[in-house]
Amino acid sequence: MANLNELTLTQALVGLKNKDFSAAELVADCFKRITVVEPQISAFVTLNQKQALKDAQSADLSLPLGGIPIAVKDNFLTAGLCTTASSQVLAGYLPQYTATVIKRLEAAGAIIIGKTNLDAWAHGSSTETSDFGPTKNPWNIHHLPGGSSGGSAAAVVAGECIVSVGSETAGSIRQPSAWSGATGFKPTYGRCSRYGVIAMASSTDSPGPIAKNIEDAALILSLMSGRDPHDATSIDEDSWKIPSKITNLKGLKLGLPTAYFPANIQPEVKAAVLKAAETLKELGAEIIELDVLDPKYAIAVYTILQRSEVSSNLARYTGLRYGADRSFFGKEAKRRIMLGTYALSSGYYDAYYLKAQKVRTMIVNDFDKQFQKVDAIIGPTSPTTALPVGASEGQAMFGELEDMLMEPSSLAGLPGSSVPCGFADGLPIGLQITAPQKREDLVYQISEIFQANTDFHLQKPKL
Amino acid sequence: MTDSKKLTAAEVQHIARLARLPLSDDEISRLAAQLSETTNYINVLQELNTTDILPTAQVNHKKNVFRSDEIQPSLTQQQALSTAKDTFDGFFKTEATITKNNH
Repeated sequence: MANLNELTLTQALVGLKNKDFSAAELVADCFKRITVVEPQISAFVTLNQKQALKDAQSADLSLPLGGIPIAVKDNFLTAGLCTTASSQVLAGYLPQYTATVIKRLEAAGAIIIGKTNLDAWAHGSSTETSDFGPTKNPWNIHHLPGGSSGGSAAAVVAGECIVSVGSETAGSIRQPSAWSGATGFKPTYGRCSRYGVIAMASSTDSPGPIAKNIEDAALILSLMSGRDPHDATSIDEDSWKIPSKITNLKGLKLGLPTAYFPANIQPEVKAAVLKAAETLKELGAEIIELDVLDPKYAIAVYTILQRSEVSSNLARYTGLRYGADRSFFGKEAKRRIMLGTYALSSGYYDAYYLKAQKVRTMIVNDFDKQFQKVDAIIGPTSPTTALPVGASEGQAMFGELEDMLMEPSSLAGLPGSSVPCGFADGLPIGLQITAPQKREDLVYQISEIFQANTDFHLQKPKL
Repeated sequence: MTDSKKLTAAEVQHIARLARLPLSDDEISRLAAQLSETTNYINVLQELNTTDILPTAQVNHKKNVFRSDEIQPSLTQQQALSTAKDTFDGFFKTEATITKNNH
């Protein structure tokens, strides 16, 4: 068999089990593809070729992910494997331990083939604020992959790995999935442990999978999730179980917030998402227009809370215990540390941080109210398709405006997916599906039936 | 306090000192403009009345989380120090924050 790297996770597992090919062949094909496309895509910061090929030789195929090559965002600590968060501060850093969620995937048999690029410290929505250079969109290398998990999304779509791990604080799994044409699954806050994930905004950071379809993403999520004593904010439940598929959406009410179609939305994005809503309606769902709190408030809340948490989390980088000193922070990190320090400083705390926390309560309450009317909420993942390389340069609010439709649900800790729902000028469009806390089952079932009835997720870029 | 305003270079320098960030004059003037732009944007929150609304710091309804006080395996001293810039006698060597004359 040729091009095993193109397989979905489900297909790869079947092929390995039937001995159609070996884990070594599967891993080797991923590296073959990496050699061909990396000069154009730059999805990876570090490759783990030697160790991955060695691990493949001794893969235990009886494990749930035995022999499966995965790519991991470079803000997850991996013992002995260079981890940088795409920042010069951590260039060459070799962690002493491995993040819980990665440990779980490795225990399930997954083989790490490399660490993927991100906006430095995950600050951004473009992957071009990486200190090691931007990642390019596999659909058009003159465009951005989105971010901050842009390397993870691009690696999956370019066929460099079978599935990848990303992390989301407000859009960082779903927005690059939308822009790059992948399927992203962001779980409820606390569903996946943050232990060993380089902290960005601790009250919203959520690890999750990026995959070729929701089936694959769900399997990875089920293996990553579950309570971790090392993360006190992790949900006190065992791992998430994949629910059964559904054959129609009868009796299900889906909300379509009018505010998620702002005046400046790209017309093709609006059309594709409304078409997707029509598809879901044909499958039996009732579509209900929702009047939600304007996302512009979530942008402001997120900006204040994220910068504040960043200034606190990045205070630990002194260059004494590990990494380089603070002069090595890039432009974006400095800007965020400065705003956060300002928002938390004496005299401004009440007006900024406390005010933002109160409006966060209003956002949570607004979702509670909406979920009394509907079972789940759908809308565009991003108001635009992938923007050209260079678009984020010098724009202090770039990430916030690109993530405006993800920020409300992230602040409320809700689970959601982004699934491909169309194309405009050869660039993918994403549909977001969001459910109440701990209702990943609904996100999965709706995403799954949508993908069973559409073929957008099956399209592949010509590279 | 949060009306549309422009931060001065002195204010930006003060924040940089709090954040322990070494910044060039160029960076200070650029940040003064960018921070002002951002603070003007986030002032949109003043449109909302938040009287009687409690702040949310945490969204998964966790209260205090305890664990049993048991010894768990941890990093060895050698592992913990393996990435240190400088060590002394099994410790991280840091810059002095208190000098002999002002103890």
